[in-house]
Amino acid sequence: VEDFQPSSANQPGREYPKVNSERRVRVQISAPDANYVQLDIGAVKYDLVKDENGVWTGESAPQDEGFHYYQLNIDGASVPDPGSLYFYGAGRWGSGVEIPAHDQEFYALKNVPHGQVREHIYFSEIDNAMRRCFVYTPPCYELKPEKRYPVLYLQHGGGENETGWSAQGKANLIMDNLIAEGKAKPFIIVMDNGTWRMPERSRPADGGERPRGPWPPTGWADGFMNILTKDIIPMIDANYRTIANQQNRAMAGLSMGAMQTRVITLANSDIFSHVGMFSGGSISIEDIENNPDFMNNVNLLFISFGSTEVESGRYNMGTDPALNVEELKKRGLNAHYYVSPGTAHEWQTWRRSLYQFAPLLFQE
Amino acid sequence: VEDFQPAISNQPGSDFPQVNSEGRVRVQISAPDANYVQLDIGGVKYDLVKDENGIWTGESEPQDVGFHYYQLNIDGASVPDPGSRFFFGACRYGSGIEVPSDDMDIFANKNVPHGHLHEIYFPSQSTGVSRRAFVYTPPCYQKETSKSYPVLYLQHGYCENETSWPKQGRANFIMDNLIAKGKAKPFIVVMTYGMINDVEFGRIMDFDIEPFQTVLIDELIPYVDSNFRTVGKQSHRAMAGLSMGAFETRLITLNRPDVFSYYALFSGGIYTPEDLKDHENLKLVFLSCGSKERPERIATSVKALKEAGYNAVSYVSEGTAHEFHTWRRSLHQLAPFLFNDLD
Repeated sequence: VEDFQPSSANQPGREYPKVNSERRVRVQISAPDANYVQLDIGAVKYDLVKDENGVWTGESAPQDEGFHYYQLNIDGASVPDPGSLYFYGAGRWGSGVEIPAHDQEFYALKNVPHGQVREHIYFSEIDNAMRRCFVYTPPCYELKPEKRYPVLYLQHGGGENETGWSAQGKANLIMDNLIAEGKAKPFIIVMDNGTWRMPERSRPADGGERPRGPWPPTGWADGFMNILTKDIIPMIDANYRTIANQQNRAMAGLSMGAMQTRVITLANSDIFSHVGMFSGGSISIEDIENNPDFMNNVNLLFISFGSTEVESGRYNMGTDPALNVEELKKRGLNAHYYVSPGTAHEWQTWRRSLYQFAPLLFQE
Repeated sequence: VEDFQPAISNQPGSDFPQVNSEGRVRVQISAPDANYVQLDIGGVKYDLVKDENGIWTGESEPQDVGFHYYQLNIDGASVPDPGSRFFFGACRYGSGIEVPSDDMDIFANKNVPHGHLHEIYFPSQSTGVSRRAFVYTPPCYQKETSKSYPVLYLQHGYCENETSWPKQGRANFIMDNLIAKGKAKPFIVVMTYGMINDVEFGRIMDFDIEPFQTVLIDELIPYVDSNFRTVGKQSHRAMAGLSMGAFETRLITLNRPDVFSYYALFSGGIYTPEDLKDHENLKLVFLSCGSKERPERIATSVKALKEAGYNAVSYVSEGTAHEFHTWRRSLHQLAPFLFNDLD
């Protein structure tokens, strides 16, 4: 359908990429001497067609609502599209495109009071390195200098970094809009970098293959757990007006960040009281039985997925999250399950998850 | 010289682009089916050479020290280099490269107390939208919660935006390092979009300062004064800018002598004693540029201002042109002069 409009994730003043009402993405680039140009989105490469001026144009099949990473391929070179803004995902800064969604109002930039996202650079004793996090403070934070706030620690996914939740996740705008409507309590959000390195496994003496272990490997989340509990939380409590206790501290994450949230909150239910896992496993009955404190200490558990993930069946990692939530509820845990309609393992699922999760936080 | 190292401006884990001790930039990209690939930097296109695996490699002539925008050209398509991080300049987010300099220490990320860089959206009635700014608060701001701070309003150049000073300008690191050494007073720095990129190049005389002046003076300053612990007075307010941002600084300070008391122009314009004759509360004029620009113009202007009794300072950045290294050094030189008369 010829109703293509520039994507809202475009660079200022750029016509392309464009999206139509069927959610097809159309890209365009001048490459007069190229042999071929392709649009690489959703793991499919679409061929572009050259006009008499050397300008290549082409479009994708319909995409899901929301945000997608993509790139161009020019004669075998994978490059960012110069028309788009750049986002950190898939282990690199690259192009992103925004497909208009029927519910996009909840993350739109509106004329409401806005909080701040601040870049906070600090030295980590555990890491022995300079690190960076982003901290969202709610709109009232600067105007009410006596008030103290609960804190949500919110983690990105694999191949992403500490910029993901505010840049493509729009966490700050989601919170500003929820707070403006009185639907969520104002709280602070801390977004740090949870990237982890494969623990070294020793080679057998005969120099053969390293032994294969479980996936993810045992202890994989220990590095970030140490940094979070020993460096980040004390630093946040020392630098911001937080309510520094377990009742007022939450952790959530998406995909790899959800798996980290699971491991870290199971081991530290004396530190966190509210837990959110978006598209990354769930808490099973076995988990609870192995960690009885979790049941006693945690006030809220929120599990979510995109409907396409659920339909694929690959999301459950051994135990069905929906059944887990039902069983945990029966045992008296305040547990919630949410499925984002028509979305996959992508940011629209996680934006909606935060939008559903935030109003449940710190209600006691 | 074969001592190429990955640039510090690279994406995490990217081996290319690289820079050697002569300041040559070497890029590399896999493009097996391309007819040609070029490195486009400093207004010159350098041809790359393909190996048997379809990987293209090539390098530039020596570049000035500091930060440069660049791009790749693949069969006629101008694209960012996927190996570099991206910066807003030349009216787009694109590749940038850091050529090491003797004085990189001034903006290094060190284990010193760091301030915070706040992304804010402030309401703007005159433009009808929420507008974005970055606000640097010094390291002590979170701890000394009864203290109020002076403010520097700092503007980017033509075809740049509000991200340019913190990203390629590294304004927050420059301030952190100066404050850690006790060389500058702690103050707040506010950087917003100067609304200048719609001006056609060469039509600068048609530029109307009024819309941006309204956003800055009537909307942003009141917002900053009510949302941050500022001393909201002329005596505690400075304005500086680079290139087109200097041009804006000059126009706004001349139109509104009641708002700022320190004026700084980096690589863009001068003041004459006549310009400033009604500026009773003016405390400092700072003019700077790169040695490859027109430093004699700065020197002449500052001499005339001093002879007329103004507190004027000039600074020339050695070996640099109309580029960000000149402006980082200019901020590094300017900051120690700001608000140092205040208690």
